[in-house]
Amino acid sequence: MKSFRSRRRNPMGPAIDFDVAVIGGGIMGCSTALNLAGGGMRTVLLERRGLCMEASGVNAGTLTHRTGPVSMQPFYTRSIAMWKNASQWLGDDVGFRERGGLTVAFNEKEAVRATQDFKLRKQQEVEIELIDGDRAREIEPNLSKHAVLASHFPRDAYANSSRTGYAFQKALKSCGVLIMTNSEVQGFESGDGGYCIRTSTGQVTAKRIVISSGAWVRKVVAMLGYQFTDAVAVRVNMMSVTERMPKLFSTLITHANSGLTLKQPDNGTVLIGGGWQGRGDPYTGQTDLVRENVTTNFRLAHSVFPGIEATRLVRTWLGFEVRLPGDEPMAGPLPGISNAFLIGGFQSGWTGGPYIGRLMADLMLGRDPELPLFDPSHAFRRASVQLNTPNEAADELSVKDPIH
Amino acid sequence: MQQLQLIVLGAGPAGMQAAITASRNGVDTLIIDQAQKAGGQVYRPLPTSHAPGPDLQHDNDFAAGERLRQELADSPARVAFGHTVWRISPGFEIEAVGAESSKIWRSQAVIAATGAYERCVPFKGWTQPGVIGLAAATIMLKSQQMLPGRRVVVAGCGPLLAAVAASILKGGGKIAAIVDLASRSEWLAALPSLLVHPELLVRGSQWIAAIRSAGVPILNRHTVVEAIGDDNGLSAVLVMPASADGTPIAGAAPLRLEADCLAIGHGLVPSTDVTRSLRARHVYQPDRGGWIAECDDSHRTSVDRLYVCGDGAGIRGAVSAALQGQIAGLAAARDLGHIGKNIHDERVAPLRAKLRHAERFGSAVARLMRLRPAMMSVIAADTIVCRCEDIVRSEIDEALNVGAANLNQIKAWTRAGMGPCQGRVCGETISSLCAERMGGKERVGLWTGRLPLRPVPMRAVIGDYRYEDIVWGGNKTALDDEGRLLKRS
Repeated sequence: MKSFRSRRRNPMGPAIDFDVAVIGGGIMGCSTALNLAGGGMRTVLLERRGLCMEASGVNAGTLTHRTGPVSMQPFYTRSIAMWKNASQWLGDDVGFRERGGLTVAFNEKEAVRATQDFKLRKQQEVEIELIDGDRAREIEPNLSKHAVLASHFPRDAYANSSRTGYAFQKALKSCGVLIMTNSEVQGFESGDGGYCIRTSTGQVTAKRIVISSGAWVRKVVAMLGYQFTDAVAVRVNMMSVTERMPKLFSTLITHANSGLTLKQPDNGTVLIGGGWQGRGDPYTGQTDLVRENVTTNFRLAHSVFPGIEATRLVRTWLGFEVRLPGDEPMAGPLPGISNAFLIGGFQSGWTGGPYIGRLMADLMLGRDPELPLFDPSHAFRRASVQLNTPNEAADELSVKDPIH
Repeated sequence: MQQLQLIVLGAGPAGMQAAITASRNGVDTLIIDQAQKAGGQVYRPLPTSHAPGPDLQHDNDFAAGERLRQELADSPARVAFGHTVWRISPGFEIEAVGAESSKIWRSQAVIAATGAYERCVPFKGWTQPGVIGLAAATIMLKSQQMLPGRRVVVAGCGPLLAAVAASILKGGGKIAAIVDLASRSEWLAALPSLLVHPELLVRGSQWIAAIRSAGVPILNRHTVVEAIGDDNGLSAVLVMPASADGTPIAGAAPLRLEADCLAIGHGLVPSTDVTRSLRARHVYQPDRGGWIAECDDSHRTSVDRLYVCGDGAGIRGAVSAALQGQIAGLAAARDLGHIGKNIHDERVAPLRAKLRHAERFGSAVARLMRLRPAMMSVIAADTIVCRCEDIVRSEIDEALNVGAANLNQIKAWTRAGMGPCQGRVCGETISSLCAERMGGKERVGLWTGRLPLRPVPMRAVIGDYRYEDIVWGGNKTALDDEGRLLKRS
């Protein structure tokens, strides 16, 4: 990848290469970048590996209307609608299948829980019905005889998250976004009315930056001289896939207590998720299964469809999902510094990514977002470390106000 | 859960010697293998239902295997055969499934002696019934005492060609032809190094003599371009003269060989699932078969107390593997505090000298079996490259055109390598196609090691349970972004 440094220094050339640099090519970064470019900004996307190779490409592809807290329902409902017509705005359907969903309860306690959740979702205008075990078994004949009740979400769907990066790479390229993969951000310098971003494959300059760095957000934010007020947590979500087997079920299955997602795509493999935790460190990439959690996850799956025991487990993997202080999602400008934005910390961010990225771009393009975003300012404090300033341009640098 | 000092994974020549050496030096050792008996591929034991016939009594490999099995049985090492290891954790916890039950062990050290598997280079019709690997043919002949076909084309490269052909003839089968990528001069060039083990060279000459006296055509510097047949089996094989890089010479007339079996192999690839899974550092060394775990001259990897030896540490053959096993066993004994530096150094010195000698033979053989990357370049656009997922070459090219960043992204985008072979069959092909475009295997990288190490029955992982006893809570966030347990509630 060429360095943009020389262009920046050339008095005849443009002082700043890009209107915006998006740092982190997960779903939030990709979606934001796509909409920013669509809004006319010259956009560069910086990614330490490849697009959507972490949480956004290794999640279970769940598109359920019972995702996340009820307050987030309007965001997720709109985002699932976007996934549904991804072939139009993204140019690829990413394997989207609207097969409906069942949330299954096996005992009284779980049934009460499912019923409460049903009432809350119903108020949010989600298409949902409460059905008994027999009706659920009409929808899914191989469902366990022990299922006593289920919520049925006819609009639930799933897609193939591992194709997310493929779809976005094509879409971003076709709308002129420069994608710099294998480019890890190493530091920022500010000045000349923007940011100079040093990466492992060269430097770029941009008027604005968007930090969408997922589980790696803390270190990127620290390079700007910021600290989060509390620990950044990661969920190390385990997913598993079996060998292909004859058709066992077709809907998206979840459990009333959470802790399970099940889908059997067209190829016959069974995908088992549900957010059971492994161990791992995003910075070293080392991950490890927690055996008890494998057991529990699979026992839940087996409780729903006993027939699953006839196949073999082929692969498990772990994805790093970030949780920001207060377990709150954030999408908005960083406090006290111009033209720096942060997006991340969403539960089931992959589900919400298309819509939330669009809102983020609207905010940055000066349009009114359709729904209010999530101001991150309270979650930061300035660290003593300030931006690295290059000696030759030290006098013209001003951290607090790079651009007006 | 059983606690041990050392677990050896794999009971081929390297693993057996490692277990024998470590246990004799006082290390509490367990050796695990998928097979019912020790032996690995080269000393593959007969199935329990078979008794060795009179011909096997005089077979050198079989006799050597029997001796080594006896030595292992006489050593203090414990064994767990008939167990497939599917899970290994840093630190180390190891889980395996057997016919009757699952077992979990904890160990302070691990020696990975997991051997190699066959390299497949796709060509038109390679997924056709009746096309099998050279190593697979060896297993059928050696262990199952079965002919792979009535009339067989034996093709590819390396010494297995002659070994397989001679065994088929001995078993009463016919050989349509031997199709060897190597020229006679390549074999002649290897000869001085092969003389390191005159007894192996003698055996090779005996194979060649048997092949010659049966009047089998030997087509040097030829390559298979197509396997022709239908669902009922193979009917013919098309071969063409090849250039030194293994690709067919354009314009040359293909030769049609009638056959009901094609046994074809393009060398061996080190099995690195254990070391990749534990995130050891790997290096790409084509003359050792490809990606291997980086290790020192005591076979320590970059992961503390994880050792690697045998063909899994780089293709060098059985003689080197056995010596490497002993060296790794001594290193483990030293690192676990059972022998001091002086004793270790005194015992390891002659082994290293022998290994240097043996390596000449091993490296000459490995060179004959090395990948000829141009053969991957000429794979046709519509040829299947990942047979589990039915992915053809043009799908890989398309993903590369879009700008995949590395091998793992190719897997995500195309599904190549996601099937039950876990990338063993297609791995070399896909990474070679990527390397051509991305500028080398190092830039392409390795597939991230994932568990299970082998597909495992769901039944075995689930076990017996009551729904009421399912323990919740393991789906809560517990770690900070560097993998440490969070203190907050």
